Amino acid sequence: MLRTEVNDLLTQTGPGTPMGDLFRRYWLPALLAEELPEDDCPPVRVKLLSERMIAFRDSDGRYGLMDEFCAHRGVSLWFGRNEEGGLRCPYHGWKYDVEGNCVDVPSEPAESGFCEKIKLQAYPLIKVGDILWTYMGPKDLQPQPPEYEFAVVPAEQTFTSKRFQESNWLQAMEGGIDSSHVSFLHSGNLNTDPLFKGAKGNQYNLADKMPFFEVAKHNSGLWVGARRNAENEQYYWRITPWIMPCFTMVPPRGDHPVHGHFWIPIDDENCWAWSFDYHPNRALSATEREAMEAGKGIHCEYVPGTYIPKANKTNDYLIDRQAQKEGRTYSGVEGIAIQDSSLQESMGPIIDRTRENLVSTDNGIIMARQMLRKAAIALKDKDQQPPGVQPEDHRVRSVSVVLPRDQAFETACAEDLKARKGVPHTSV
Amino acid sequence: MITQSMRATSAAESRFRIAQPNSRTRKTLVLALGRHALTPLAELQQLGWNNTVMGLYTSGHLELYSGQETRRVPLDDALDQLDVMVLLITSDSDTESIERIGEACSRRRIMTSGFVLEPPDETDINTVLDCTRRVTVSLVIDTDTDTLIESLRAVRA
Repeated sequence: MLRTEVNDLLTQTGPGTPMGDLFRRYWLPALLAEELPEDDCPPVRVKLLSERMIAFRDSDGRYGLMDEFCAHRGVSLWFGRNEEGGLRCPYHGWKYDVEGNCVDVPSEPAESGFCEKIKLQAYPLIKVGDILWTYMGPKDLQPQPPEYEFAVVPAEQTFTSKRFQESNWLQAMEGGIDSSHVSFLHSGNLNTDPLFKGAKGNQYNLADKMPFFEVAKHNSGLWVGARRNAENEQYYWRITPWIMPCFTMVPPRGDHPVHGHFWIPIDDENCWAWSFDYHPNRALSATEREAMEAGKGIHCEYVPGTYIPKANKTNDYLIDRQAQKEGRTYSGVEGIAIQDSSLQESMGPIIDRTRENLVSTDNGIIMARQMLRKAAIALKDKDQQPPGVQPEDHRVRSVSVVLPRDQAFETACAEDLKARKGVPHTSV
Repeated sequence: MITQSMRATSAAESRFRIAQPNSRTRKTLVLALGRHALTPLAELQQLGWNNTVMGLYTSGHLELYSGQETRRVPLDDALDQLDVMVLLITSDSDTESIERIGEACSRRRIMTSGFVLEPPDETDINTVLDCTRRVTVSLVIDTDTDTLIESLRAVRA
């Protein structure tokens, strides 16, 4: 359980809040690059950390992310004309460049210098991998661009999707740290989903529903190891890295692509669940990419033209009680992503953690909360830069491995847990 | 049409939870398995806890602390009605004690977790660690006493 004030601290990410300030020290996924596919394409509304913004790509291919509303009369620039190096408000023609500078106020003489005094708050927007990333913190502390392995491998080796989730970011992220739910909630998918099935590790997962958990801190987050019994007096380990503030990687299965997530607050009651799949040393096959695009694995099908899952609260997540009864799916909801979102949204927009009853195997969640709280307070009180900001912090991997019983994963897998260019991931 | 899920998951509906406890107090024993753990244990004792007892187990002897008092108690008595066992592991913990407690807890189906309070790479603790891994359901390696405190708070100790 958490005290109400700690729950509030961790779940509130608007401007001026401790967690909001913490999030603003990191590069965060803002949009999929496909949302701004070409120069002068339509602008896109973006809401992050309770701030409403507009993203656009100008005539020279430069990306911009700025205050959504025109400084003149507060019109949404979503209606703007994206033309000749800037976004022009359709109401009276005020125009802004990608840095939020007002570059034209047609009603005022150019020599008046009026437009030089108008500037919208803008944030950098850069493309790394399939994602457009933004940094919303102090300019002088802007870190180097992110280097998560999934985002820096060649394009043919990676795939990213995002989905809208109607819950606070923290309860969504905690699902990514807690791997003990996989043996239950996702059990129906391990042997059927094309991006999971066939791995030997699945059998260990399904056979042992009471894993031992070991959690160890590292510089920028946690290693959460789940140990299950394997044959010949050995253990099967699944090791999940968590990097501050909201990045996790799922341990791999066989030669399938590796996947993971970010959970990015939209506001305090909604978040983006970002999901990626990549293979460190080969292109994704056509079949794999097709499956990802079709919403298999950790991805999902959408309401056409949106990033809202097709199975959502407006249709009770298309729950199938017969499938639940027959064991085809554990909860009756189809698909790993929606199995997670349906339950996390059912907690309410912000779960009341004063009523929860955690157990020892929830130590990963407990420690992540503690690290977040400490980092937010250290930033607020001492202006201390939080962990996980620098690119070198991002170069991690998840691991699944069978080890002799006397070997600790922290030492046996020290190299496997690092991203290494061209080196296959360690997977069972 | 508004579905059940839409109605039930709104912020307004979140206010309607039964305002009664959904669990009973659990009995927790926090046990130092070496004298190196007595300092963090003393820190824990300064704080308020729910039905939680602290103690030291070495060489087959169990001492339980209550305020300024120390009393020797047979292990079986201490485990009676116990729900959660938390083992504090340091480099001076001995494997025999860990095994004995682990076995006793396992027999009684007591949820047992371990906190390793000294860094594995800086101390000769690996044998003890291996042993602890065999008898606990979860293990945390962190030298920060705050983590221990927070974890105990989180499980309502």
